[in-house]
This record gives sequence, C-alpha cells and structure tokens, in this order.
Amino acid sequence: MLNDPRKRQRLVALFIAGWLLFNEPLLGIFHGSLTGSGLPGVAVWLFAVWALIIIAIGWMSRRGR
Amino acid sequence: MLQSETIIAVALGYVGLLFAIAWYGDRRAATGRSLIASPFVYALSLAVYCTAWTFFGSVGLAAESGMAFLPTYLGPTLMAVLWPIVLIKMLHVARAQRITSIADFIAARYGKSATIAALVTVMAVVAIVPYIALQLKAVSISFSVAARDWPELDGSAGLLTDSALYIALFMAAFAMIFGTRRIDATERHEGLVAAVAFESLVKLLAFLALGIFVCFFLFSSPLEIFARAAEHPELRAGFTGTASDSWLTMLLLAMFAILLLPRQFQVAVVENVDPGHVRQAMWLFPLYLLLINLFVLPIALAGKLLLGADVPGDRYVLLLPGEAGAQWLTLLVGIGGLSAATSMIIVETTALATMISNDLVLPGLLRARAFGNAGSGAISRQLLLSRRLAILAVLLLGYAYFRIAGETRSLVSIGLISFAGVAQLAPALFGGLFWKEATRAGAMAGLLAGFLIWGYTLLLPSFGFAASLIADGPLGVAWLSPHRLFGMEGLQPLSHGVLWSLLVNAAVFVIISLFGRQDAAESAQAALFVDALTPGQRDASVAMWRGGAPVQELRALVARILGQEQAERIIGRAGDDGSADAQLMQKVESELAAAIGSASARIMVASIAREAPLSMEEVLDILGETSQAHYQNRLLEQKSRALARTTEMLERSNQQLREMDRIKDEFLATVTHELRTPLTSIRAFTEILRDNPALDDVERSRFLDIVVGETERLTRLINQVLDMQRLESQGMDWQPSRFELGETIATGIESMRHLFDDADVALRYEGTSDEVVVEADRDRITQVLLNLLANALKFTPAQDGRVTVTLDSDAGWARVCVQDNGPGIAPEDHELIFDKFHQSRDPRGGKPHGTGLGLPISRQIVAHFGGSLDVDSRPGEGARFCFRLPLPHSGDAA
Repeated sequence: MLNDPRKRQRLVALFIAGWLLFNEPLLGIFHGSLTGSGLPGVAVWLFAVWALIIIAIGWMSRRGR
Repeated sequence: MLQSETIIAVALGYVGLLFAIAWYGDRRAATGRSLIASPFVYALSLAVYCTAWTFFGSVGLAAESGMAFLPTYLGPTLMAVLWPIVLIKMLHVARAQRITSIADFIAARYGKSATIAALVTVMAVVAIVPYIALQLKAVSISFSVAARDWPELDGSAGLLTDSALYIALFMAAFAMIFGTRRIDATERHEGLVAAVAFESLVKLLAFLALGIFVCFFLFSSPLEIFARAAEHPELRAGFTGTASDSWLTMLLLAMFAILLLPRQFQVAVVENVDPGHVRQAMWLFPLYLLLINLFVLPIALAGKLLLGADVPGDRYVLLLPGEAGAQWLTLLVGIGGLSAATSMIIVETTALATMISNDLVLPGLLRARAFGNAGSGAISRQLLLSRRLAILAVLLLGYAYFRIAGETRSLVSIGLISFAGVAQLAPALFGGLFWKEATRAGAMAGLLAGFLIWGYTLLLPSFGFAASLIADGPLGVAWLSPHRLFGMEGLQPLSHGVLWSLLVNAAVFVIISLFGRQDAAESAQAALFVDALTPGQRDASVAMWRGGAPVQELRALVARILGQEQAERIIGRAGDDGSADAQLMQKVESELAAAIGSASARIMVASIAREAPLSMEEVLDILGETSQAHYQNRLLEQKSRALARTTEMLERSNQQLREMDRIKDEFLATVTHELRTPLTSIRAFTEILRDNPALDDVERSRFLDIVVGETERLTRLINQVLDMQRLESQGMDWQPSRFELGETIATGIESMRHLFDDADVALRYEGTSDEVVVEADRDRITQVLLNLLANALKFTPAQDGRVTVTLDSDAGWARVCVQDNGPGIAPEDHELIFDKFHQSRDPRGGKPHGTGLGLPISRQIVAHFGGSLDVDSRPGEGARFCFRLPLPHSGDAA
C-alpha cells in the first residue's frame, strides 16, 4: 500500500496530528470543563479525536488508495 | 460473595475450554486450514496488550487521577498509524531472516551478534518481571475479593499458604503446555494465538457487560454518574482534568510498548500469518482499545460514589456487581480478568522462554561443547527442557518481585516500570531499521547505558529497602539520588527515569555509531534490514559462507536440532561425501535460525564451516553485484515491473516458482534478443545515412522505410509485453460494447490485405448473412483477429499460400476461424503453442518469430469475455485457429 510516497506522507501527517491533538497545550483547553450534558470535556475530546483517528486510518487503508 | 469451590471450578472449566481451542487451532494448522488466518483474529491477538493492568488497573488509576489511564491506549493508536511504515518492514525482515523473538531481531540487525542477543534477553527478562508480578497480584486479589472464604492477601502470609505462589505455579504449568509443545522449523504457535484471541474477546465482552451494568442498572445513565460525581469538588477536579505530568511520558512509552514488549513482538511479528492483515488490524486494534476503555471512567466514578474512599480502586471492577447482588456478573468479570492475566502470562513467558533458551542457554551450552556427538533430536529435547524451566523461572521471579516490592504499589505503577524497561530497546531497534550506519558497538553501548540508568532510576526505587537511597542519594550524595539525577528537580519519578535513560541510550547509540565502523557481517545485515522493502531486495539474503563444509556434518547438525526428517527435507539428496556450497550452508543457517535464533544458528554453522569469515571487500562485492543487477533492471523498467508482479505471484507456491523462474529467464533472453535485432538494423541504416550524404533519394527512402519498419517492430514487441503484463495483473483497461462481428472482421481483414498482397498470399473471407452481435471490447477482438492473421501469414508457403477467414454462429456462440495451408502443427504441440513465450520454429529453418506472446494474449482476451481459443491441425494439412464468443442472451439484446 506504500508504492505512492503520498500515502506514507498522509500517514505521517495523521500521526503528527494525533500527537498534537492528544497533548498539551491543545488538551488544556478542556481542562476542568463540563459539556452541556454534564460530561467531562477532556474525556469527550479524547474519545472523539480517537474515534476520528480510527476512522481516518480505516479510510486510508482501503485497498487501492 | 461466592464460594471458592465455585470460583475454582469455573476457572478450571474456562482453562479447559482454552485448551480445547488451542488444541483445535493446532490441529487446523497441521491440516493447513489455519484458524487464525484473518485480520480479525490478528487484531484480537494483538489485544493481548490489554492485561490485568487494563482490566483492573485502569479503573484504579481513573479513580485516583482521572484520564491518566488513557495515554497507555492512545500511544498504541498513534503507533498503529505508522504500521504500514514500521511494522510492515519488520514483518518482511522477520520473514526473510526467520526471526523468532525481539532479541533475535535486534541481534540479527547487528550482524547476528550473540552478545546483543544475550543482552537484550537479559534486559527483557528483568524489565518484564515486575509486569508478571502485576498479573499475579491482580489474579490473587481478584480471587480474594470474589470469594468469601479465600484468605485475604497480605505480604506476611507464609510461603506455603500464599495463594499467589500457587497461582504462579499453575500459570507456569499452563504456559509450558501451551507455549513449548515442540521445537519447530517455524517457531509459530497457531493454537496459542487462537486461544489468546478468544481470551481477548472474552475480556472485552466481560468489561463491556460490566460497563453497561454499572451505567444503566446501578445508575439510570452515565450522565447520572457524572452529575452525581460533579457534586463532590474533589471528584470533579479528578475526572475533568488530565492531572498527570507523566501524560507525555506514558504516551511515548505505550507507543513503543505496542511493538517492543516481547509478547507484542511475538503476536505482531513472529505469529503473523500474512503481512496483509496489518491493513485491517491497524484500525481494528485501536477500535478494540477504544471499546475496552469506554466505560472505565464511569465505572471508576461509580466505585467512588458507591464503595467509599477506603476501598482501593483496583478492586472496583469486582466489587460493583455485588452492589446489586449480581453474582453471575462478578463471576463473568472474574473470568474476564483471568483472561487478561493468563493470556499475557502465556504469551509473555513463551516469548521470554524462547529468548532465554535460544540466546542464553544454547550459546552457553555450545561454548561448553555440551553436545559432542549427541544423537538425533538431542538438542531439540534440551531446548524444550530449557524453555520449560525458563517459564518456571520467569514466573517465580515475578512471584519474588511481588513478595518484595509488589505489596505497596498499584498495578499501573508496576506496569509502567516494565514499559520504561522495554522502551530501552527502541533506539537500537527502530534506529537499526531505518539507519544503515548504526553499528553493533553503538547499539550495545546504548542498550547497556539505558538499561543501567533504568535499573537505577526506576527499578531499584520500586523496592522498599531503597527508601533512604531515594531521599538522600547514595552515601549521602544528594545529586545522585535516583529520583533527582544531577539535581534534576520537578519531574515525576517516571518521567525523570525515562528522560535520562532514553536520552543517554539514544545519544550513546548515535555517537558511537557515527564514530565507529561496521564489520562485514554487520553491513550486510544492515543493508538487508534497511532496504527490506526496496523491490528486488525484498526477501534477498546474502550468503555469508564460502561453502566447503562437509555435507555429512551439516546433515548431522540439522538432525540433532530438528530431527532426522527435517534434515532429509532441508539437505535433500546432496551427496554425503561431498562438501556443501555456499547456498546450501545459507539454507541450513536460515532453517536453524527459525528454531534457535539467528545468532545461535550462525555459531552452529560456523562451528562446522571451519572457515575464516568473509572479508569486508567480499561482502561489498556480493552486495555490489546485487545492486548492479538492480540498475540493469531499472533500464528496462516496464519489463522489470512485469517481473516484479510475476515474482509476487510466485511466492504463493514453490513449485510454480521454479517453473516460472525458468520461463522468466528465457523471456528475458528472448526479449533482449528481439530488441537487439531491430536496434542493430536501425543503427546500421542510420549510420549509412549519416556517413553517405551523397546517397540518391531512392536509396535513402528505401533505407528510411526499413528504419521505420524496424521501429514499428520494436513498438509492437513492447506493446505485447505490456499487454501481457496488464492481463496478468488484471490491470487491462477493458472497454466492452456491443458490436457486429462480421463488420469488424471485414475491417480487420482490409487493414491486413496489403501485407498478404505483398507476400502473394490469397486472403478470403466467408461471412454469414446473419447479423452476429457480440458483447466484448471491439479493439481487443480486432487485435486477436490480426494476431491470428499475422500468424497464418507467417506460416503459409511462399507460393500458393491461402488463408481463409470464416464466421458463423449457432447455439449461442459466434465462431471465427482462420484457416491456413501451412505446414500444420503436431498434436503434441497444440496446447504448448498457447504457453507464454513459446515460439514455433520457422518450418523453413531459421530463428523463431516474435515474442511468443501473441497467442497467449489472444487466448486471455477471448477468455475474458467468456469465450475460448483453440487450434485444430495435423502436420502437413495446415492449421485452423478458431475463437468462440458467447452471444448475448436474446432476452437482453438491445
């Protein structure tokens, strides 16, 4: 799946994005906050980003892409 | 509360079920119908990552410090993103080098160094011991929590009354039976992987069941849990923050751990059935992690709210079902926790035992010359014994750590020490995988430095007796305190230890590599690792032997390790009196490496070879030849691509491989030859034109015609090769449509007529009055017809040549035939002529025509549209080639 260097680059970009989104200072934005429905902001953020990364991996790893 | 008899009965029943699965998995593997050849099973087996730490400890950590449990699972998710770059490469290397463990992998990279193998083994064992202790502690706690009459755990229990000891012994027996059934030529355990995958499923379902129970039965919804927890300010502060300055450290450690923990390396690399599974597993596995973590925070908060502050968080998982009297759930959760712990222990100890026996015990025995003339299979039996003892030893070490240090610490903090320990392998492994200049000395020094600093800053302080050392430093030297090395303040002990150990490790590794030199064996292996995914280099191996070892001794060596049967298979019929060539020795080394690790295999073969190792120059020559062949390949790029595709297909079956290889060589020779002929004449005529400006116009245009003709021939040849390649790789761009066949044939014939006229061959067309409509690619069908016509023209006699084309249709088929009156084809050649690259000799003597691709291409084109192409001929009576195409069903005729 890596004959195309752009596919490698997409993966590396996703990795860096994930690394940034999972860490301070972006993470600090949600520190101590609760969402409207009372869920902790940090947890919602982390699980949402996590789910998006999984979807992105799934999408990038489709055959022929 | 349950009776301990019930718990033990259920646990034993469950273990029995695991045995059944493992047995079935092994049986299926033996019959070649692998149970685990699926990306789902692969992803589930990777989930051996989730141990008792996850199952019990995550909730405990969440109760203490909110989201701090999560980086352990976010790290692997990030690493999974890079798997196509990192893991795929490791898989290809491991296949080519027959890698059996992570120690083997790193040692093989640095010239199959036995010293590195031993060092990595020691490091892995020491680093993993706390982790094993963690599992024992978790299982032991879960029994005492779940059972009313189980003795409560405390460090003061006598050795013989301590349930953890019996659990350790039981686990050891379990792992021995699962992991060390026999010494195999392929060190893989399909049954074990099947059982582990099953356990992963069980622990996920158990945890989800608990999560749903807590969220929707104990409380009305997760929102209620969060709302009630938010009323307590100290709880609110905990679960809404990340509250951990080790966040980044844990993320980094977990990222490494997912590939570097011996058990992860075992399931991800050694047990991998097909590298293609990574494509799916790279999102399935993170999804598994997400699911198993979804309910951790609600469960932790529910525990805080319902169980009070005195109960340790590690026990919430087992106690919460009891709050509503759901004993069945307590039991299910217990089984889930047992799954998490046992799968970790089985795989981890199996992986460690393989390393200990291959990289510590065996080289030791070899050095001591313990097997002078041991009989067939003797070493194999010794290895099995040493693996079983190693499993026992590792578990007892884990138990000892549990007794000395495990009492006071939480599950997660014990686990993180292990994570930091295996992270020390990262610079040597990943550096070695992507940096060709990394040297053995650099890896050695880096590993050693990192390991020592880790031991001093993280492992040592985990023992109770080190308290004064931490507070005052050794002998009162404060700046050497393991938690404040060189006065570095303000970091948590974990981040502090990881920072120092990895920093020094990586720095030493890089600096010594930059200023050192590689020897021959190292640079050969370095090239094979770093270029593992370069096309052509893939699966290559460099024979590092000169040859010359007596075949008889090689055979005896293989028999001693793998048994007589394998020796026959590997050495085959090579004469016992003769001496082996370099290839045979390479093969023996590679087969042995699959069982006993690359470093030991090299030592064993070297003991027979009695030769000086190859010099740097010789190895460079070998590598140079490879890369030169490469360069030539690139010159004929399209052809090389066709070859690469072919090569990929060949991997599937060995038999096919040899046959196709031969054909490929012939093809290369033919095509090169065919390319040269027109090139030579083009060159000759253009030179004439250049050197003789005075040529008259008639001559000049005649020569130019020849040049144009030869160029066309070249184009045709290349087009055919490309067509063949597209057909083989299913990359043909088909453009099917409905068209009238008769008209197409007439057009095709007209385009060829002048060639027939030139050769004085009569060309006749007998069509049919019916309209024959077929559904196919019109251009391709024309190509088939032209091909058959050109063939017919080639083989008709010089005088009185006749070629007849006929078209008819009946019973749902359209049939086109091309009849010539040439010399005909012998019956035994009827199928042969459709083989790729087969070339009929010109009956008038002389060289063969064309590439031998026309007929096979034609046949594949016709076959693509559901038709067939056959020949009917007898020698002396001409040949008749007919192709048939199905007529579209009358119902859907347009």
